[in-house]
Order: sequence, then structure tokens, then C-alpha cells
Amino acid sequence: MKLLISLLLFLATFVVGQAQTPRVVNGYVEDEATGERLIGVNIYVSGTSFGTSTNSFGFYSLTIPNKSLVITASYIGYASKNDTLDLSTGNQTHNFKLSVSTSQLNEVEISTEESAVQQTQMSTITLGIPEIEKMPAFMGEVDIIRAIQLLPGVQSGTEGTTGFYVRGGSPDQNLILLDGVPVYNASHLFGFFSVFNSDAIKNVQLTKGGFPARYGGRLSSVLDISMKEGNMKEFHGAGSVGLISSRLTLEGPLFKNKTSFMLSGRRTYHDLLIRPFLQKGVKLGYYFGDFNAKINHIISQKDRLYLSFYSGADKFYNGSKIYYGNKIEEDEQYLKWGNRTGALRWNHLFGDKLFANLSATYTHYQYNVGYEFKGEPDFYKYEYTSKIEDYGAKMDFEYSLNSKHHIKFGANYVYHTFTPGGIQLVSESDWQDVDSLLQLSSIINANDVSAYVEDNWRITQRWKANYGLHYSTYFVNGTTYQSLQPRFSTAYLINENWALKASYANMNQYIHLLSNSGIGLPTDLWVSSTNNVKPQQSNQIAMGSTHNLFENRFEFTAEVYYKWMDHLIAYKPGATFISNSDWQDNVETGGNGEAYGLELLLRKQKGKTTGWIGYTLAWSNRQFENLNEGNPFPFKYDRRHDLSIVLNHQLTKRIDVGATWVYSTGNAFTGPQSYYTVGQDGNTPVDVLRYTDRNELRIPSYHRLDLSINFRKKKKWGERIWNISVYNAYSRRNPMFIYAKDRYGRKPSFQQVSLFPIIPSFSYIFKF
Amino acid sequence: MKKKTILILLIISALLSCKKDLFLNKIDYEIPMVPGRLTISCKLKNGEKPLALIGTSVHISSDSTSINDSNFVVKLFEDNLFIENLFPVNGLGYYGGNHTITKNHIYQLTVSRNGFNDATGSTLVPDSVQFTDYSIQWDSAQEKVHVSFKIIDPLQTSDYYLIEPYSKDSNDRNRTLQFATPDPTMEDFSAIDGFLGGITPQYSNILHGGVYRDQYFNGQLKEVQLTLESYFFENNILSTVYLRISRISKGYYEFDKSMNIARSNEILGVIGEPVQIFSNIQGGYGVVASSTAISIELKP
Repeated sequence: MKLLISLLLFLATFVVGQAQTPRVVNGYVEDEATGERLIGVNIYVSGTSFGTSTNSFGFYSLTIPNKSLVITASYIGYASKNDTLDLSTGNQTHNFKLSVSTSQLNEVEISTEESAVQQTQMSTITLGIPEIEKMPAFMGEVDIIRAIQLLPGVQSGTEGTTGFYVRGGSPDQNLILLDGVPVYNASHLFGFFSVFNSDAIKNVQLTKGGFPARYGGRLSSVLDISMKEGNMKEFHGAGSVGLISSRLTLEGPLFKNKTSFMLSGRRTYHDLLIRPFLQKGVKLGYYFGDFNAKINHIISQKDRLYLSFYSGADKFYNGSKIYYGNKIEEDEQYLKWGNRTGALRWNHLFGDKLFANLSATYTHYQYNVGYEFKGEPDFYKYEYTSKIEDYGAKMDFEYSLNSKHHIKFGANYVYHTFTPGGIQLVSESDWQDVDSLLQLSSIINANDVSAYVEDNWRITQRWKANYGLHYSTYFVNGTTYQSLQPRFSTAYLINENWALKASYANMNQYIHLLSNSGIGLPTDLWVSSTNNVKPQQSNQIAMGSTHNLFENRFEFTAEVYYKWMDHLIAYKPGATFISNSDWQDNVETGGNGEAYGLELLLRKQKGKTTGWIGYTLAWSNRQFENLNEGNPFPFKYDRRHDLSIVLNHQLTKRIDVGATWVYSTGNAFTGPQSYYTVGQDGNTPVDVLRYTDRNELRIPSYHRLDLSINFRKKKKWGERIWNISVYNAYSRRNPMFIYAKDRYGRKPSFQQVSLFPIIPSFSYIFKF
Repeated sequence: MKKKTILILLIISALLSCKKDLFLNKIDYEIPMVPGRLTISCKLKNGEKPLALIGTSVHISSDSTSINDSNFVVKLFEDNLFIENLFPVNGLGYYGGNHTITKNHIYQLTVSRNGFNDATGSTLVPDSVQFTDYSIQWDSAQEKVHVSFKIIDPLQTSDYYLIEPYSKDSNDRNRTLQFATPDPTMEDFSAIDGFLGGITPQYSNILHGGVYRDQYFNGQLKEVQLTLESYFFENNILSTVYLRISRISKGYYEFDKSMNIARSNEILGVIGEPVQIFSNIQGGYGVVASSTAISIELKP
């Protein structure tokens, strides 16, 4: 805490030190056609190094010299706008309205915008939805997290799944935010689709390292996803009909230029399609669905209100329905899971310099595994439930102190309720009536409080830094954990096209995901740090270079990183989520981890051909006292090489083609290697398996080519797009897992199981 | 229009051709070859002769079987002094000796065979368990027996206690008894095939034992409470209870525990974590462990 106060005092000295009278220009940047506020727009003063970018609410604030200046707003896909401002009379509020560029295909367009070279922040990549939508779809569905997996430093999970692993971290170390609210399980269909419907999403930003102080609570990454706000001017819609699902999004003004709404829904129909083909009495099906909603209300020029909501659900079921004369007996086994999130956010501008956002948030994740029998008069039910629920409140402020310092500070409070495992037994019959709830693990309530302050410091024309502190404290079961986490990143511009960067981030995480290493089930348990299970910690240092090449048409980034982690947990050998004891009895604690590697990214965002090539060379290891005889072992997703090539080419105004090719070293796994005999005392000896060292084996490498083509046509009512995609175009049998056919028999044979061969798909997309 | 129709038909036919392939595809996978290793399976008991099962490990996909014959050289050392070569007992891999195992000594077994690296394992045979205040209550109405006693734990780390109640049948054969305890710190070691030692499981290879580690009561008295039901006695009639209390070596505990978990894990398939059976053999696999037991007879 003393350090925090010292930092604030240090920052305060800059206020005293500034005797000049610089001016502040601030405002919002929005899409001219829709009124949608734009995130990450570069705002800069032409011919100087003064610049910034809009925050997640489209707001910017710049403190600049007291004179007449040309200010430019520049954003990929939009025409840049230059406005001359005379600041001699005082501070100004200046809003930009950008229109979609008609010349974005121009190869030789040269922009002087603040590119990644000029940004202090490293290890951050932003993906626009148009960019993602041009990528090949999987079963007709484009997916945000599937696109994220193609970035360097991000590893995908098993075949086809949307779990992601950033710089050797585990999935629970990724903070996935939807409009500022954590989403605990971002998977549908056992991970083959993410919960994010791209029609409802505006912007996606992934931060892998060099975390600014405003972020906390996870060790490895922050995936910040913003939902669309809704068109302020006109009513519009978009949708698609695909092989497995359809979706529809509607948006428009409730009150023109005052209040807008956005509604978006998606549902699969596998369960409906197969129903006619099932035998009488058989119940079998799977579906998932999402619903996004957002209301955006302008209270005044200085106040804005956002209300956003998300709900998603998956259900897999099978059972029977048997008729005995007039009587019916039904039974059903099921696995269902889903998230619900909500956020109410209020933006307010205090004076010219202080921007504030106040949020109230809610998030809930739950899964249920159960069995139900309905007869007459009997009813039985067995249901295992695990859930996590958070209520939160957050304040964020941005203060443009002077032309050299832009300060962000804020505080966050979250009340967690962890219910890691409960069983409900219901039995109703003529002779008994039981409804009991058994908590296998105790319910844990925890208070999570944090505060941060960070300064974006323009030290010289060429040298910038972002430094700050994140303080957090966690109260659980009478135990208090505290953490003060320093963050630092800096960039030095060698010239206007080349910058060297470095960063350090200390991170702390109070919640853990207990995951069986076998397959990615939604049954992984979210659990809290407790007296026995300490918070996870990490330190990460990274260094890199960002270079604009060929007249800014290409951007090349190279980064090396080293991350070390403490207090990791893992299931004990043989343990699973199905246990009759408290989860704390089933985990190994005090694990350490290290991850290090090199990431290269060559990216082209303008012109007829866009895309990137990303390569990662990485190592990731874990060490637990009671696992692998105490020796370090590779993390399950330790992959030495990972290569992604993503290309999109605009053939004509109406046709674009896309291709992605990925290659990665096979996943590590532990396999039975030999067997031998044990026994004595006259008993029949038994054969036991000797496994390899933990994760010593590798499944074969993974590679895959996906292709797509989009046919666009303007219609009277809007635009229609036919999308044809081919997943795994050369039908590579990529291994998902290895299994032994006869585990304890003699001469067992092993097989690698692949899930997806070539899968063509098409979808019809419409926008009006 | 014709072109569009042809294109759509091509797409549909491509989809239909792939439909039959939309299932799990399986390809044979070869587990990398590793050389075989010598294996030792030995639990030495205070006051008894040594007995060990010696063999070799075999690659998981090999057509050959584990070698359990009389061609191993098995040496027994006591406190680093050579004692004797163990001799084949039955030609099936069992090797025995004439030396009497004594508590508080370190024993080492070294096994060699042409074509294999030597394998060595050692164990310190623990001291006897000290206990006090034992009592037994016969509840004929409930058809239960309540047994309690206190273990006197010495002030040293890593003590492991194995508790096994049993009875005898009319032919004087040991009979396993299941028991209940209100103490959650007792670990259930019930599901191990014939390897908890001591009681010859002539009726069943499932034994019922509980283990305490002294992490919660190091250097203190530890009260043990057991409840036995008549159901497990011969003819469902309560009779004399024999209580075998052993101090076991750490290797004994770790090995049995891993065996227990592996057995439980078999039914979990892909959702369970792999379980490595504990090994303390240098150059090979298996275990050399030891125990010192005392038995008391509790009559109605």
C-alpha cells in the first residue's frame, strides 16, 4: 500500500512541474453511418509525436500544445479524417465521425497513423470482426476464438476445440471479458464452438504479456471482447442459415440518435433435424443457443449508459419414453451447461480531463450432470451441479494530466460464490418423498478487491513507457491474501518504422480451474484459493521489436518472453471431478511452471491481400512435488513449433477467397509404455502398467488447410453472401487422442483417434 | 442458371460424400520401444524370511511375456553387508532366503541378469508399533463390535500405520473383516489385490485395511476407533477379533496407495488421470518395502 501511495505522490509531482498551459482536446469517435463508437482509433497530431487511441468506449483525450493544429483520426477500414483545431482559445471537445473507406483496397495507401510501432504496449493484438468473418468457417460458423488460436503465442487445445493456451499458461489463466464481464466457460459443443456470436461482436483484443495495471486476476492473457452497441440511426439486421445453426441479429434506434438496441440470437438445430429419424420412444439430442442483448442510451454529451446481457446454454441428452397402455415412463440422462452475464455501465466526463466509467456486473456459470425418471406415480432425479457466480462493481478513470502523462486508475470489487459440487437426490413415490441436497464440497464465498493506477508516460519524442501498480486483496474463509503487482512496459523508437519494446508484469490469480488432462469437458471445476490452496502467481518478462516494412504495408513483430509461475494446482493421479470428497483432497498444490519462447508475426492489413504469418517456438514445463516423482515435466500443451498462415484475397468486388494453414507440434501425453508383474504372499500376481514420464510422449504433429470463398451480391433489401468453406481441405487425419484398446490385456494395440476429416460447409448470410 | 445449378449439385454431392466419414477415425499408433527392465516386488516382514517376485518389464505391445524364471541373480544385503543369494522358490519368479528379517535394519535387494541393467531397491524395516488403552465393546443387540486403542507415535517424521482387523473361521483360517471408522484421516486401502501383506486372503483377494499417516499427530497419542459388523463374521456371529497393527515403510504406503488409485481409476477411462505405480527401484521397476506387525486377540 505504501508503494501505491508513493507512486501517486510521484505522479503528483508532474502536476506541479507543468507550468505551461497546454490544451486538452477530447471527444468520441464513432461510425458515421451507425453511430457506433469505435475502439482503438488512432488520434494523433500530424507532424508531431502526440497521439493516443480511443478506449473501449470510443473516448479519447489528448493534452497538446496551445496552438492551431491538424488532428487526424485513423482506423483500419475507415477513411482517415483530418480536422484543424484552433486551441488558442481553450480546451475543446471534438468528436470524429468516420465513414467506411472505399479505398481500403489500395495497396499503396500510406498511413502516418500511430501504428503498433508507436504504441508502448507490446504483446497485444487486435482483430476486427470483418477480418475474422473472411476466414474459413467451421461447419458454417466463423468463430472468434478459433481466429485467436491462429495468433503467435496462442496454442489451440485438442482438435477442433476452442480452448486456448497463451504462452504456456492453462485455460483458466485467460481472462475472457465480454463487455467487461468475465465469462467462465467460453465453449459450446464440448469446445468446438465458442460462445461468442460474431454478429453481436464489435471488437476483439488479446493481450498476452506486458499487462497494463488495469488488468488483474489472471496470469496469462486478457481477451477483451466488446459487443456491438446498436445502430443509432437506422434499423438493420443480419443473419445466416448454416448447416448446423442459424443466427439473427437486429439493431436500431429506440429513439433516434438517443437510444439504440442490439439483439442477437443463435441456435443449433441438430436435435430438431434428427428427431424424425429416431425410433419411437428414443430421446437423443444436442443443442446450444446464445442470446445477446444491449441497450445504449445517450443521457447527455457527457453521460452515456450501456446495459448488456448474454445468456447461453448447451444441453446433451439421451433417454427413452415407453408407453404402457395409458401410462408413460420417461427417463433421461443429460449434461447441460451455460453462462449468463450482465453489465450496466455508465460513462461520465468530468470536466475536460477526467473520463469515468462505473460498472455493475454479474456473471454465472453452471453445469449439471443428471438422470431423471418420470413414471406414474414415481419420480426420481439425481443431479450433480457445480457453479460459480460473481457480483461485481468497478470504477475506472482516465485522466489526461499533461502532454506527457495520461493516467488511468480505478478499483474493482467482486463477490464470488463457488459451489464446486453438489448432488440433489429426489425420490417421489407412494411410499417415500425425498428431496435432499448434498454438498460434496463446501460452498465458498470470497471477496475480491483490487485497485490500480497506471501512467502512460511520453518520456521523450522517441521513448515511451507505461508503468503502474495493481493491488489486490482476497478474503476467503477467514484468510486474507494480498498482492501488490508492479507492471512496466516501454518502447523506444529507433526511427518512425522501428521500435524496440520491453515489459515486465507480475500477476496474481485467486481462482483456479481444476481440469482433467484427458479431454476438455465442461465439467472442469472452478474453485477458489483457500487456506490450503494459495493464489497462483506469475512473473513475465518480454522483449521485442516491431517493424513496419515496405512502406507500412507489412508489420513485422518479434518477441521473446520468459514466464515463471508459482502455486499452480493439478488433480492428483487418478482424481476426477466425480469424487465423493472435497475437491481440496484431490489436488496437488504448490506447483511451479515456466514458459519461454519466441514469437514472430508478419501481418498485412491493407490491400487486396491481407492476413498474417505467425510462428511460435515455445517451451512450457510444470513441476509438482508429488507428480512425476518430483521431476519437471512438459505441460500438456507444450508445443515446440506452431505456425499459422492466414490469407484473404479480394478477387473482385463480389468475390473474396480465404485460406488458413496451421502446423503445430503434437500434444504431449502420458502413455503406458510397458507392464510388469507384482505380487507375493501366495496371491495371484497381477500385471501393472508402467507409464512413461508425465507427458513424455507426443502425438503426431498437427496440420490442416482450410479454404473459403464468399460470393457477395447487393440486393434491393441489403446484401447477401454465400459462404462456402472447406475445413481440413486435404483431410489430414489429425490425432485428437491416443487410447489403448485393451488396457490391461496382453498385447494391447494403440490407436490415434481423429475427429474431423474434410468437412465442406456452406452458409447463407444476409444483411439488411 | 445452369452453372449455378451445377455448382449447387457439386456442393451437395461433396457434402454427401463426406457424410459417411464424419465419425471418429482411428489409425494405429506405435508406442515407442523401450528396453525391458528388471522388476522387484518385495515386502519384507520383521521376523520372517525374505520373499520376492522377480521379473522383467515388457513393452506394452510386445508379443513376448514377462520373464519370471529361475535365471535371476538376487542378492540380499543387510546394512550394506552381503547376507545371501535368494534362491528360486517355485520357478515362477519367486525367490526366497533363509535369513530372518529384523526390524531397524536396512535391507537391500540387488537383481541382475544377462542383457539387463542391474536393479536395486532398499528399505528400512520399521520398529514395532507401540499402543495403549485398547478396549473392545460387544454390542449384541446391534450385532456390532466397537474396538478402540491409542497409537503412541514417536517424534519422528513419516510414520505409517496399517490397521487390519480379521477373524478366524472354524477351520482356523483368517477371515477379512470390513470395518467402519468415524475418523476421516484414516485412508481406505481396501481395493488392492493381495498386496497388503500379512493376512492370507483365502476367501477373497480384497482386503480391508486402513492407513494412518502421522502428519496430523506426530509425536502424540492417536486414538483409533473401529466398528465391526457381524455380517462379516462366519455365520454372521460375532467372535474373537484379531487386530493386526503394522508400521509400514514409506515405500509400502506409496506403492499400495498408487495400486489402490490405479484400480479405482480403471473404470474412469479417459476422464481419469494416468496413475504411475510407485517404484523405488533404481535401474528397474517395482518396490522393496517392509513392515513390522503386531497382532492382538480380542475375545468376547
